[in-house]
Amino acid sequence: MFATKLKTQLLLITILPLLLTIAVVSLFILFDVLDSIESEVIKRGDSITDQAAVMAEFPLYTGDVDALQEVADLLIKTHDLNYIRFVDVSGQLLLTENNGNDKGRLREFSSPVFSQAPDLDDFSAPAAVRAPLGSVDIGFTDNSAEAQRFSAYIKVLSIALVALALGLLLVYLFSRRLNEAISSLMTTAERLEQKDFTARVEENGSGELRNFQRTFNDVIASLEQNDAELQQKINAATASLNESVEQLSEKNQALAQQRQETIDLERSKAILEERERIMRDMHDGIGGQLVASLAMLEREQDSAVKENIHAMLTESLNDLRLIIHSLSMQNNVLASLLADFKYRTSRRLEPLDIELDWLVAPEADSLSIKPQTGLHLLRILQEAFTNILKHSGAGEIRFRAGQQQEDFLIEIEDNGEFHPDTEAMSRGLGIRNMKSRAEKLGGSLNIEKISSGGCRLILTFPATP
Amino acid sequence: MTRLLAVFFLLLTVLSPVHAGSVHIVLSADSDSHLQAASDIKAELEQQDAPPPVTVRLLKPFQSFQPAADDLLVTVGEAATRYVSQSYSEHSQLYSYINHMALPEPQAKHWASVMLDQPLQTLLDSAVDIVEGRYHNKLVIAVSEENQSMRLQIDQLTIPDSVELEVLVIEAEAEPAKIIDQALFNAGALIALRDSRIWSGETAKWMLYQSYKYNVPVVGYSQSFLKAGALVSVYASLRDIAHTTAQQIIGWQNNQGRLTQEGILYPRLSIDYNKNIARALNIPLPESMTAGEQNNVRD
Repeated sequence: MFATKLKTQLLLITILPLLLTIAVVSLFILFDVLDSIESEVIKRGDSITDQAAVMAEFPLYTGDVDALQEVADLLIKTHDLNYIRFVDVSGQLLLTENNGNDKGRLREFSSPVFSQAPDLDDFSAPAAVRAPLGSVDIGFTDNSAEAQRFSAYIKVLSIALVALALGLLLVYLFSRRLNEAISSLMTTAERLEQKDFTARVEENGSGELRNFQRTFNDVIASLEQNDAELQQKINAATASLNESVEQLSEKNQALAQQRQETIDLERSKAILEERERIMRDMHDGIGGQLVASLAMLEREQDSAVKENIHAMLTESLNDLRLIIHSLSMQNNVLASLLADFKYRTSRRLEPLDIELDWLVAPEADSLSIKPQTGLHLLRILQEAFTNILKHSGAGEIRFRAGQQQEDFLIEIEDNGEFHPDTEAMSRGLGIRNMKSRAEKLGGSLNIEKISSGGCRLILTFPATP
Repeated sequence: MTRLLAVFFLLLTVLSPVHAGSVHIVLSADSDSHLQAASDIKAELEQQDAPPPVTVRLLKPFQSFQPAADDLLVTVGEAATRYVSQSYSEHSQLYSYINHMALPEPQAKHWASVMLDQPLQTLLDSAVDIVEGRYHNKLVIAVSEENQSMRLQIDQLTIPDSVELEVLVIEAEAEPAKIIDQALFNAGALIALRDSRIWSGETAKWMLYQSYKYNVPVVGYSQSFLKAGALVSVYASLRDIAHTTAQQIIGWQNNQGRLTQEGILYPRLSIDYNKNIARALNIPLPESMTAGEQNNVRD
């Protein structure tokens, strides 16, 4: 009902019977005392009327009013009566005496007065005859009884309060240990409700309650162990799941990469096929026409115009070959591109009797290059060798290619005569184009004169494809 | 209880064999006191080795019964005594539980009477013991005018010189309580004697009241007087009366049907006193009365 807490219920269970008992006992004592006081008042009244009847018996018998007056005065003085009244057997009022005190609750008593002959014969006693003589009425205030009642209220109340205090003290003393034990259980239960399996009940009870606390602790320990095992299993399952997810992710990533690679491959294949078609068209179309034009030109008479046209057609044919070469599928690796360039350049150097010292590091074998990169690189190399052939008069060319840290470095030296005319170099388009292409490669180009008088060209570009 | 005893005695009467030399106890009434008296007498007789055959009858059934000539008729109470004394003059008769006023003029040749009362002289002696040496040494006796037997006893009293005796003769119309009022003024004790005109009913009550009012102790003639307010009672107890009666019957049996004692017989004397009255009247009792109960019993 209104008491939901165990402690409150325990308190009510112990205190309510106590209060009820004290109330019942107090009421019982109070009623008993009040009855006793009332019976004392009645007893006093009866006693006084009996005494008055005895004392007034002879005066009533003889009708002696003076004697009745003496009796009345004596009784009023002795018992503090409010009034006393004597009536004879005929109902005639013989005497009324008042003391004038009418304060308080008036209690009235009346008793008939009889005359009874004494029994004086041991053997044949005559039947006793009670002859009525009259009656006596008295009245007195029960102030003392009221005081006794008030005193009884105070005493009973005091006794009840003392009993209540003692009872509460005993209840407190006897229930404290029980209360503490139950409180400990409740506190632990609340912690347990919050999943705190480390909580333990303080074993502060006694007897069966202590056994219950121990059992409760054992249950908690069992729960804690079960929880740990469960947590361990969950962790293992989670780790396994994470691993599976990770593997799945890796597989997905690999699959995506494969897919991208497949797409790239397909795209590359398509590009390569298109490039091959363009190369074949350029080779078969433009190249054929250039070769046919040169053949037709060979049959013409020699002239300056013919020479110029022949040179331009030859240069165009070489340029076309360079473009085709750069677009060739086989030359997407730097080593292959350089090897093809060496082959072509060697055919030009041999008639001129120029020795080529060619060395390419193995890193070039694994360095892939794009066709555009290859084209820029081939034009730079072609321009460099053309300049050497045209202007240096060198008899030896030294070529080195290798990886240096993050960059790839190509170094070309000749043993000719290099006259770095800054004005001419700045006006010419060749070196400017070479530097421009080097920048497009993401690298740089330096030209310097070496101590032997020749020229050194150093090209660096990122080794990443 | 009374009915049971009556039935018991009636059955005893019917079943008992009746023969010459028997004892017939005749009860004046079937009251408790009469039945108890018969029972006490029989109990005394049964203590003998050869008790006489005893029958107990109420007066009325006894009137239709004819006892043998050698039977002893034992009466209990006044009515039976009066009837037996008048009707069976040839039989030996033993009266018991009777007082002087009720004792008829005996007609039988052999008779004896065990009295309820003690001699008046005994009461006077006890009263003398009380007043002797006191300032108020007057003894007062009230007797009705018509009570000749008592007046005769009064005339025969031996009065010591240390006391004064005032006898008040109450006339028929006079109120005893008022008459005695004047005499009690300087009295030392009031002696009550068995006189139904004075010491019965309301009169006795106011006699006692008057004496108490004047602080005059009363010497009564029965144990009941103590309860009524007397200081001292000089009497014969009922058991002693039964004992004396039984002794007379045994004597009759042993004396071949003749009474060993005849005339008026007094049982053993008992004297009791009321301590509360003595304290209220502030009267020191003589040591002979207060020494112990045994001293209050005189053979």
